[in-house]
Amino acid sequence: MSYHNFRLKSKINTMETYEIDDSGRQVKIEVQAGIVGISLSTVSLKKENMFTELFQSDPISNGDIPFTKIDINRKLRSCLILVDTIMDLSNLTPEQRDRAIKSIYLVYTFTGGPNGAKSFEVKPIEIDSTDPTRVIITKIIKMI
Amino acid sequence: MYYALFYSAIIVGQQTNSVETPLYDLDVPNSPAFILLDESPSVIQRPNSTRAFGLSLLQDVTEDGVLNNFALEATPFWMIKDKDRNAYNFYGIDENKKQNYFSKLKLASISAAYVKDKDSIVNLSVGARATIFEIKRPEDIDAYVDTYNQIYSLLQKTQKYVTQYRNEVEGDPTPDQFDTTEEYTAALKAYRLARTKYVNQKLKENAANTGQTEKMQEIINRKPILAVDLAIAYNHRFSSNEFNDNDFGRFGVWSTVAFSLFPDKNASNYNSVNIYGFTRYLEDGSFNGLMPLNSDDRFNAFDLGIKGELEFDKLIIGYEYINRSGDLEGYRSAGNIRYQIYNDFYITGTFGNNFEEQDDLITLFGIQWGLNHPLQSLFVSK
Repeated sequence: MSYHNFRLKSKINTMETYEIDDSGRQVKIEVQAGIVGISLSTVSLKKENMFTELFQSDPISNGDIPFTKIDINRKLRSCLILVDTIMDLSNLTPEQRDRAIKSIYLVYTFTGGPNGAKSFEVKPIEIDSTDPTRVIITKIIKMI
Repeated sequence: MYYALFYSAIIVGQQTNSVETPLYDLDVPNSPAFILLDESPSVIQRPNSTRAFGLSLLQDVTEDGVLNNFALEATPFWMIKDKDRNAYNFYGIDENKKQNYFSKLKLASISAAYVKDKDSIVNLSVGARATIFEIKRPEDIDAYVDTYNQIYSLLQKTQKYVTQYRNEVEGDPTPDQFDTTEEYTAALKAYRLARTKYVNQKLKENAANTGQTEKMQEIINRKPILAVDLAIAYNHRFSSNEFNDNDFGRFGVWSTVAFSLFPDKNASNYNSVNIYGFTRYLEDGSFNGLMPLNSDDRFNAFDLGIKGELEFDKLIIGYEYINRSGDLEGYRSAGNIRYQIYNDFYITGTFGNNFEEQDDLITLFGIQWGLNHPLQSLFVSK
């Protein structure tokens, strides 16, 4: 395979994972959001092909979620945890919007698994700015 | 000037190899580094938008075909990611609506400029500016928080439809479903387009957006009661294209204090009486070092000025007086008027005298084009 073909067929994005075990310990998640737009974070769970919203950030927290229980380890086997952060841009001037999107700070931290705490950062590909009035950032973590 | 730019933008835009450059990327020459070099079009100003000045720079470059003047301005705030940022402290309040009067300091900008003058002297200039103090109206803070809460409710509805769509299509694309990154990226793009359409349709059907986003835009553009701006800049000159042949050019520090009175306490309109105080110290060290001694152009000057302005819905009438003392003496006394004909289309006029002892009459009449729309962009040839 030539270098060119290798580049075309490259696969650099792999699923991010958090390791769990069969214990009854609680898995928790924390979302730290440093966002200047008006923001809401929502944690959802995919289980048996059904997406269910679990909890959301408070209005005053602007996207932050303190450590909150998701479920116990053994019940999360092969589940997906999805964190949506929706950022409204209307409190920013048009000049500030693009800069605000580029300066988004989002860190997701899981605890309770056999390996303890693990943090994930937002990646550019996870930021959806298709709509000019809002941005949707989705982080998907697979429980393995 | 803006006519020329308008047409040149159209002509350039018709070329095939073009890249789209948002106008805000061009908003540079109102920086202190540029104003120090007398390249700024107005003396007392506190503009909401700096795009107009960016256009004058662009025109200078495109007309001459060479880069004579160039300026850059950067705001370090946007280059740093910080977990403590939120929509409250960005506006300048905390969760209890308490104002942080120094909150705008975080948006301080630094600038650098390059200007080559008629005598081939290269001027390099650096500067910084910030709003160091600001007092907002309590009514505006209340309106911001109320509208923030309305938008938060809108976000909750948006999330509901995001989850609904996710369940209808059995989830977001994930990397493990695709063989290549390219396939994954294409699927993600298609998913997001379809989701945006779905969510917006649902929001529309349920009349979820009742104008809160437009209201927020109006609120953040309201004038504060009091604002103090400070700028500082330093310029160094290089003569004869020799690096070692350089000397101090200019140093300036200036400040504007803007005070606004709103006669209508119920805020049903935003007619205001605006009073500006202006002070500037300028030191020019551009001594050529040649005989005769009267070629010594060095000076220092201290400007002190005031401007009164009546701002109505579409009309602004103002008068400014600036007294100059130090090695240079004189005054500027000018009245100006601006009328909004259409959304972002203004007629402006200025009449009075400028600092010079002779030929001091200034009469300016012009048009300002719409420069404030978020979707505006220029096409610049590659």
